[in-house]
Amino acid sequence: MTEPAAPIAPVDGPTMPLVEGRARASRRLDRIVEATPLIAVALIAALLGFLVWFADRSEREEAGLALIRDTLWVEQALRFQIDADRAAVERLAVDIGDRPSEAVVVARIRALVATHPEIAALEWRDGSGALRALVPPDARADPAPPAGTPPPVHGFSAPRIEPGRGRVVDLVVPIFESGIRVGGLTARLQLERLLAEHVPWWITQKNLVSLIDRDGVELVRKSSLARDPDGLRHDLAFDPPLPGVVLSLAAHRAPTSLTGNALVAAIFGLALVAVVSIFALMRHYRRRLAAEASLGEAQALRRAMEESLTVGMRARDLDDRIIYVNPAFCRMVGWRAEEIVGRTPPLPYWLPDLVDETLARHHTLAHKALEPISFETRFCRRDGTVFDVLVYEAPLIDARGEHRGWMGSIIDVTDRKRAEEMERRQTETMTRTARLISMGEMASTISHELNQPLAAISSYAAGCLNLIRAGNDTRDLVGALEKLEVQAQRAGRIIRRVHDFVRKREPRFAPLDLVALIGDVAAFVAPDARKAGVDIDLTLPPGPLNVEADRILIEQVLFNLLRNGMEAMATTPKGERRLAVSARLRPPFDTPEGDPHHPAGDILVEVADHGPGIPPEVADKLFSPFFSTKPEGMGMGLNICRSIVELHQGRLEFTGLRAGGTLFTLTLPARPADAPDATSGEAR
Amino acid sequence: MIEPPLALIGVHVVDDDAAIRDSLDWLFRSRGLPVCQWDSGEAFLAAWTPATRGCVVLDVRMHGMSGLDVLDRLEELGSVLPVVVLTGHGDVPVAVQSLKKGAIDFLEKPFDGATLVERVLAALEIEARRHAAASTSRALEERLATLSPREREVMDKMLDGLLNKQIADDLGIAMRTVEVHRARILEKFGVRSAIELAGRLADLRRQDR
Repeated sequence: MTEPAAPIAPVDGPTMPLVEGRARASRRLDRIVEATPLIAVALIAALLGFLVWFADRSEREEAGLALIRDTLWVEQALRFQIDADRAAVERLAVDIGDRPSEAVVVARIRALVATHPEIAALEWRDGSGALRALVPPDARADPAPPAGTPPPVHGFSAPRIEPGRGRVVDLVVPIFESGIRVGGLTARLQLERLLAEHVPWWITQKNLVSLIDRDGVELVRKSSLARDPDGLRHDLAFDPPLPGVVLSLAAHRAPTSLTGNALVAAIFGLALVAVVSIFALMRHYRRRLAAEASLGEAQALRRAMEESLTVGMRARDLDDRIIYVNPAFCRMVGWRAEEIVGRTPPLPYWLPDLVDETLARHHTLAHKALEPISFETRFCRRDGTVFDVLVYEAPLIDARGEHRGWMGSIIDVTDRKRAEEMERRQTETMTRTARLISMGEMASTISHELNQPLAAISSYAAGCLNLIRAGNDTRDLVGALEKLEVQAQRAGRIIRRVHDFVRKREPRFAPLDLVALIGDVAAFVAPDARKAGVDIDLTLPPGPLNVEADRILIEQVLFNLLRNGMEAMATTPKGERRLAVSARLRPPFDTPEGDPHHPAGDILVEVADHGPGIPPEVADKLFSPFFSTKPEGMGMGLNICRSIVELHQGRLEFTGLRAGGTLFTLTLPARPADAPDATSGEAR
Repeated sequence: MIEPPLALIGVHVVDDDAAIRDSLDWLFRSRGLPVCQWDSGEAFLAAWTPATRGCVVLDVRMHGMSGLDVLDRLEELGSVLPVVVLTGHGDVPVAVQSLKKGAIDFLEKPFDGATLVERVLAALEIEARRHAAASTSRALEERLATLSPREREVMDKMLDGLLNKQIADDLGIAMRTVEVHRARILEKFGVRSAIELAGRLADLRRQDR
């Protein structure tokens, strides 16, 4: 069976660009897919960065606001305090204008100084500038105010440095009595104390609070920490009340900024790690893709190979379960893969009468060494037709080296078997042809071979005659005559060889059905008969006509008779070239008086041609050796035929037919029906 | 002219069967004919030269080159040797073919020795005639070549049947000069008259044709 292989999908022109386009699109998609995490990571990093920046900024803003708030608060507090101090001193000044006793004044001054810690000292001077009282008394009297700067009449002086008290500011309040200035009070405000007393801890904790002059020179401060030059700072003019003084709050370096930086660093570090890992992942992914692609390609190639295989493949596991069949196998047996895979014996494509044999083979295969074997068997198609297969069975070893089952390749050898059968028949026919033709060929060869010595003999003889006639000494002829003798012997040897050839083969007698044999021979000469325009009429009984004979020899006789008959009609008009061949059994009682006969009767084979008949002068010599009517004939045919027939205790005769033509009759003794079966083929 | 080697004159027997060669040798020598034996067509053809003389007795059925092949080759070589072919009994088609290929005769094996000798003698006679004719024409040609151009002109006019006077007028030479040329031409060809000369040259022309 040679079912046409499933057609391979045609690859037409437009398919390739389409596929390419698709591939391009998928590559683009892959790129996008690959880029997405990168973009996401970048976005996340940017967003986090922004958030950090934003938080930082808002924190800074917050800090700035807090600083301003604090500054304002401090300013307010200080101003309030200073205002309170001033108010207290002014009230005292007013009270002094009412002329209280000096003791009262001093007491009040003392009380004021005691209750206002920032007031380091308070001095009372009369209108002439003489010091009336000084609290605390140890305070050094204020030296005359520095020249150039007129002492304030009412209000604060510029800050100055007083040894032991640091920066101080004088608050000068005039004392009026009935509208006349009668003196003044000078309160010495110690700025350091002012800050120390009136700036709370929660401000200083966060900020450096300082008072600076207009030139940015720090006058006093409250904080142990150094000023951060880059830190936030808020300045607020503190003039009034204090002339030329600016309140400055500087935020300490925010610890949050450090954590923020760390956070930022962490974010970017992590983003970097993420990007790097994404790249690594992408590389890995690409490698996997490439591996997958090559795997897919290999898979596709394997599938294509599998599809185009003409050898059937079938795998079964150790439990004889079919685990795989290829398309070729399915085509072979006519079952679909899903109908076979998973089945256990007996399988649907097994021949019912071969099941036992196949099972036995499986059994031996399972218990034999793991080596491939091959055998021929027959399978049955789904439609019931049987076909010959050649099976190669090899152990199926998996990647781990474990024996998993058996892999079989199945080749449909029906065609090959048929071819072999045909070849065998052809060889047989050719052998037979060669056998039949060899007679004629041999004749031709022999005639040439015989000619050589004969020609030589003739020449020697003629030469000798010439010399004798010329009167030469006859002794000169000896050499030539000896050579002549050698040539005569050579000719004799050739003749012996012919004889040997004819007798070479021991005849082998066996029961032989002449009906069948005549049919065979007639079929064999049929092509020649058609060519010669001869009709062969066979008149044969339906049953067999058995003789005890050598098949090849009798075949040769029949062949010669048929061919002679055909050749005899060469001159007969085309339509009348009829060769009648008949065979019949002649029982003993039917035998003409005097004819020899056999107990079981005789088989008569008659071959009648419609040729010109045999002239009487030829008829006498017909069976004699080396007589032939044909230019190439050697005259062996009929002679040998008769010898063969006589070997079989039969006769070969001919008679002229009245209508023209010749009838050859071959008579062979019939084989008795009860004769022992001589199939042993023993020669008699 | 170069004389052919002695071995190449006589009956050339070409047959691969030693017995045939030897018996034919015996036969031909019994009639006084020299024989050269060749055991194959190839061997004979290798020895053949245009100067080879005699006749060939050629077997048709040989190993290697067949007799027919040898005939073909001889024709190609331009051989004029007469060939007698030996064929098998009743091998008419081969006999016909060999005659077509230039054999002058054929004999079927086994042949009658006397007949073969007669055929060979006839062939040798033919060969001798062919050879003689060839040598005559060669001699004439040699003599023609000795003529001077002027003598050639004079001879052509002589053969046309012109008288000395007419020849002298035609060629514009003295009558006396023509007479001298005429005498020399006749002398060179060894003939006595213009008529005899014309006869000789006519033979040559016939053979050329």
